[in-house]
Amino acid sequence: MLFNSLIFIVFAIIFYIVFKIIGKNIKGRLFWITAASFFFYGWWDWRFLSLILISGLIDFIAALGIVRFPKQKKLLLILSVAGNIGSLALFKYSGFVAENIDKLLGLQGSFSLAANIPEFFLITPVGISFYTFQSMSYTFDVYRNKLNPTRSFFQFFAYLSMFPQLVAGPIVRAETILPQLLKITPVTGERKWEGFRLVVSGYFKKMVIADNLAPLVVAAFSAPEINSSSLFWWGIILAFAFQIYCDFAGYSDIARGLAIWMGYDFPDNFNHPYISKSVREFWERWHISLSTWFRDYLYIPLGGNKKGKARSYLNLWITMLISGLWHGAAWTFIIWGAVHAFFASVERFTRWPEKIGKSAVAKFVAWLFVTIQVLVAWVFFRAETVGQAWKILKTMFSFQGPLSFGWGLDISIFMSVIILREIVHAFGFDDKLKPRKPVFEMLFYALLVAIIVFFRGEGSQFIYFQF
Amino acid sequence: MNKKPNIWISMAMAAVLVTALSFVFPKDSEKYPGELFWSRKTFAPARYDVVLMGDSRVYRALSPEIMESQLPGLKVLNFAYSNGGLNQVMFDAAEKKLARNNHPKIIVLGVTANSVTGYSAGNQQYIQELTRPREEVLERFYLNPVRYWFSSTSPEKLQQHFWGKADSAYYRNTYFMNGYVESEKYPADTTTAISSYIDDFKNYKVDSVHLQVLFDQVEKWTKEGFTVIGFVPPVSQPMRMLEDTLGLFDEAAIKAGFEKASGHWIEINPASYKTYDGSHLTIESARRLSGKMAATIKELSENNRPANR
Repeated sequence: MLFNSLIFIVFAIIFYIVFKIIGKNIKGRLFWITAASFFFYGWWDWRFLSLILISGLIDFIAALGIVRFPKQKKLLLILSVAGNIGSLALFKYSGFVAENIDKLLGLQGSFSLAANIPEFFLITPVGISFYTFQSMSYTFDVYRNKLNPTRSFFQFFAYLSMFPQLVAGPIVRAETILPQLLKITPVTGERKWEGFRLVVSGYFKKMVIADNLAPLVVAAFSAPEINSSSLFWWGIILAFAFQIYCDFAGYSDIARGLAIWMGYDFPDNFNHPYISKSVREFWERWHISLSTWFRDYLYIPLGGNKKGKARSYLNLWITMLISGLWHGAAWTFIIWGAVHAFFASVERFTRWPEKIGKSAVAKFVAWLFVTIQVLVAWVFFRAETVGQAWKILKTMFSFQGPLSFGWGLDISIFMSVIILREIVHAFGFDDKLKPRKPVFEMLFYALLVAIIVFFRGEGSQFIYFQF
Repeated sequence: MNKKPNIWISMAMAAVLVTALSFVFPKDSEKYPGELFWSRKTFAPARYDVVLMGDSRVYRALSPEIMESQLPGLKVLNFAYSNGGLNQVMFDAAEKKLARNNHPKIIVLGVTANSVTGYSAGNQQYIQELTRPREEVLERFYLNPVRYWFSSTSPEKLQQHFWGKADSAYYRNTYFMNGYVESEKYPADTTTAISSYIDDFKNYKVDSVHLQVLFDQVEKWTKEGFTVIGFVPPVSQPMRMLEDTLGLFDEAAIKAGFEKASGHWIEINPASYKTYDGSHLTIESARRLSGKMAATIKELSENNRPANR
């Protein structure tokens, strides 16, 4: 069920009406959230509901076992991780691994591993990477004594499957949501308005910016040989950078807004990543819930930067490569992670962001340098194959062809809107430009709604659903 | 006015804005009616007496509205698709659109070179419409009339609408919900379609396997009491020559096979009709062909009546 579909609007209306009727009955709320979220997910493919259920049950039981049988806690943790990683491996990576083994060993025909994988396992369940990571973090936190496990099945599954964030995050932590689920936080007029602002701005980012940039990017990548102009490809990658940002940040905003209307708070997932002046800062602003997950559950447990310099670089590379693989079972994603790891390593080794100074020119140069690095990495993320990515990068750095992005009026306007929005934030004008009187604020959001209605792009799936 | 922003007031403002702009902004008369058109055709109920089959040459040539006006009491559906094949999948689908019980059962088959080659064997457009997610189909049925009124636009479209010059060249489609598309192209150019057909026939030729499937179905239907009519939708002369030579299309042989299977074959004189691109009929020609087809069905029905009694 897509947020930008009629069926979701019908679903949401029914959900919030029933939620309102249930009122302060906590058990009723938890049951309703779980049931509605399972329906939301099952609408896509009911068969995969069992996957969430099994993966969740493993963690639910393992967490209880960790507390009950402290001596066996390591074994129970391993079981939980194996269950989650196993389902990810089976549904998301089995095809990729089999194809690569086939290539390596030259297996073909009936000996081919890829050809022998049952078709069912080649379907990647929507949002599998999100909910398995969310589920794993619960067991990790219980294992580290940071969290008491819940004994309530519905509390756990309401946390795990809560529909606003089920398929594309933010990856919320149990320690953040579980306590909220047992409280009744009144949704005041101000909170309702906050939720409304987030929902409207989320839909604006997704339907007006991302969906209008998408056709240009899709067309360029489906026939990359057609255009060999450097600036054209810089323009395409820039458009893709904002497409994926608005697509994903738009989803996160809608998810946060919907949660607020239920009386819950999800953490912010994006904080204007394209104004970053270092790669490290970029990762503090981009997909924050995933970056912090990897930091807390992979990088730090590996030793972080406390086991010597060489080890810290190794840990960085391991984290970034796995982060790339998390996004998709393809070499392009792994290289995307590697490119970020390389840029982050250079940054850590040279400390250039600290050395460059704090003048306006230095900040601009730092921003430009980081932006170029991020754009170069996006080429691998978006390309169909590694070969295609190299060709595009070669074109981008050949500095040939006409001095034009080839955007046309529509793309130029949509890109200007989003770039201007980032500039306003970068220079701290957010508060200055915020409408002072409520009537103007309401009018501003009414105008955004009208823009969404008339300037909506071709409806398409959220990019991060595939991850 | 409230001291704090309020969702409902803001939404009311949005409603006023959207309504006002909907009167000013251009409407997309192709996209939304077009989407609804294909879904309605694909999921049309079984209530028709006459079902027309074939490819784009048929859905741009035969108007059920005109035919119904000459065939009182009969309901006609144009069930043709782009690259629509005359194969088992489409035969089964078309049969399901016929009304049950004692209604007349008339199938009209527009036989083109492409429809009896491997080119159309996948019935790509029909399958795409048939397998479209249920959500999308529901949205098309119930939301598209609203979406049309609030058509999505773009800065370029607005610039063209408010400040641009009217296009001297155009290609317009008007969708009729009974399956017919009225197409207009200015300036007409009867050579436009030729090049793409040359490419098609390099890979696909009319062959006996596909033709036999057609003849077998005609025989089956006629045995079941259906009236089956075949014809070749008229095209420009160069197009016809191209299909006959490069595509190995032989109307005389097809007619013979069709009649042997007890189907009725109508010979259409292509010189009497005009196309706008060499492949599809102009509005005026489509109207005349629809009238001729209706007259043929009427004549066949009248001839069959005494025999049936």
